[in-house]
Amino acid sequence: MNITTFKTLVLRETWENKSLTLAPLVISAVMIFSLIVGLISGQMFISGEGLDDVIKMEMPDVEGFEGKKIALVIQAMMGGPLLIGMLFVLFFYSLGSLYNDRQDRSILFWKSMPVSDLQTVMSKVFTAMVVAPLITALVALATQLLSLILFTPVIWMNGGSAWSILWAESSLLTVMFNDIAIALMVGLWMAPVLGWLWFVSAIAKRSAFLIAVFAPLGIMLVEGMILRSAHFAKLIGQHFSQIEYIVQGTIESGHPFTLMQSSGFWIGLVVAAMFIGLAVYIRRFRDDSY
Amino acid sequence: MSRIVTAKGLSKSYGSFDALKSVDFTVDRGRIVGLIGPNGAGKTTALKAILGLTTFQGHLDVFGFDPRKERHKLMQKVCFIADVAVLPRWLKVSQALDFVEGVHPMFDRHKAERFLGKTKISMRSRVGQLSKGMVTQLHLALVLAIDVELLVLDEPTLGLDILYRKEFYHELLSEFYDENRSIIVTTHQVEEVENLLTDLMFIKDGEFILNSTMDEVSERFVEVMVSQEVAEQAKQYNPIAERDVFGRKVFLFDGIDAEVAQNLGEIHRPSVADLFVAKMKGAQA
Repeated sequence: MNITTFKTLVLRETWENKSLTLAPLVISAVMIFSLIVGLISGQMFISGEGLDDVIKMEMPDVEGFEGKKIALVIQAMMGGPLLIGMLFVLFFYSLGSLYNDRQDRSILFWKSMPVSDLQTVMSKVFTAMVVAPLITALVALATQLLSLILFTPVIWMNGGSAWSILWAESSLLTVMFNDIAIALMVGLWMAPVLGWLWFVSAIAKRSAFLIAVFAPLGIMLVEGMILRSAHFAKLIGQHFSQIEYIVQGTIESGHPFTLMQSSGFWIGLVVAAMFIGLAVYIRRFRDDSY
Repeated sequence: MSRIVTAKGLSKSYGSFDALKSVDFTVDRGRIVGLIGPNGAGKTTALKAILGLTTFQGHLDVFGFDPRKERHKLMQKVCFIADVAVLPRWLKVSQALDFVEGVHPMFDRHKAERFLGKTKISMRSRVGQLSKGMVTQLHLALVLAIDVELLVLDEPTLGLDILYRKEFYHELLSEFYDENRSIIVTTHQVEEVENLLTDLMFIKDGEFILNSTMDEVSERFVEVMVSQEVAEQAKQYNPIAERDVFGRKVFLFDGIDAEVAQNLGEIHRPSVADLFVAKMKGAQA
């Protein structure tokens, strides 16, 4: 696969889908703004009291509560909303990626270029699974840094040492690693859903969104009525509950790769690959694209 | 002169509808082929087959490739403009250039920028902000700057006003066409292309009812304007069409002896449009 071609295809995705970069930036701006408001009102609340007293007052049962935890809590608080935002962005990105260009007929322009449909679809998969998580991770890291910086003067004002409470224990390298690792693992965890969305995106003649959402619901309903069972719903629920591995793994083992111990994760990847393969095939051979 | 497209027994059906009924045709290097037919005749299906955008039965060879299997390799030698205004609205002009430069090895960016310099199109504009005519100019600038050997145009000027239509074909001839390159064009506006074409193909209900060079066409088909008195005499030569013009009759003959025609009345070269109408009616009868 030609590297220049592939790079151009991925760039094309970012041109069309501004939300890949815009959404995390907006979420980050909102969080930073809330943090500033929170810090100012918190400072008014703390007033005369020393910061350490306030922390002990809030979390009295934590013995020897150290700055390390503060830094990690800040980091988790700042990263979480960005990851949730990423899930939404990826949902709509994937659903539109093989559908919108058929609606506005620009597929005829893209198909007039010497690019195979496999390359086209893979550029979208790469954008969703690698580019979007990396952007999210970078924005998360910047947001976390900025919030530590914002905390610093507050700690100073309250007579604490920002260095020992925040910065010395913030383990920025670990956080950076985890930001990237978590975002990538969340993307991989979502892969079967994205695969389904690409499949719908490639096959739907209209109302891709309704098909993407109501086809699975319909399967659940039919299964419930005919077989009086809910295996399909359970299957999906089980997959979604695997997000626990990412959260727990990060808290307990310090990295999110514990998700890889789950067989469901690997089955999800196989399902994703199957859907992506189908999407390529449909994109290549469907007739009514023109 | 080398063959670039060879079709043998090319068929395509959509359910019970036969869009192409086992047709044979060839396109040679350096030709400008007009593929003319009413809606639903199979024009677009034939073009789609050549471009690898549809499945089909039969044999089709384009630059030695099977379009079904090697479409992306084929697209290095072939480009197409399908209808106007298929560029996406969100695309910026500069991004369009970056994109084609990134994916097409035969693209000459300077050439495209030179074309755009002659227009009012700004590099920073989005396609959605341009008029339909300007979008066509942009598309043409992109495609003409690609050094391909075959250009396929499907109704390229549909919906454009006359100024842009004239300019479109002018640019096409002056900037793209030479003896090493070929063009296949379909259009409803036959009058606009008839002076460009070197070859003419009429297609009706999935079959070719005319497939010859323009030179052959002008030798074979003759229009004769005769007075009412000799109209009966002229009819003996089996005209394929007749019409009234200012109290005189105009007959269109397929393969009439030149001397006979001259004796009947004034000889004209029939327009492609008149020929088209005659052939379409004839095929119906």
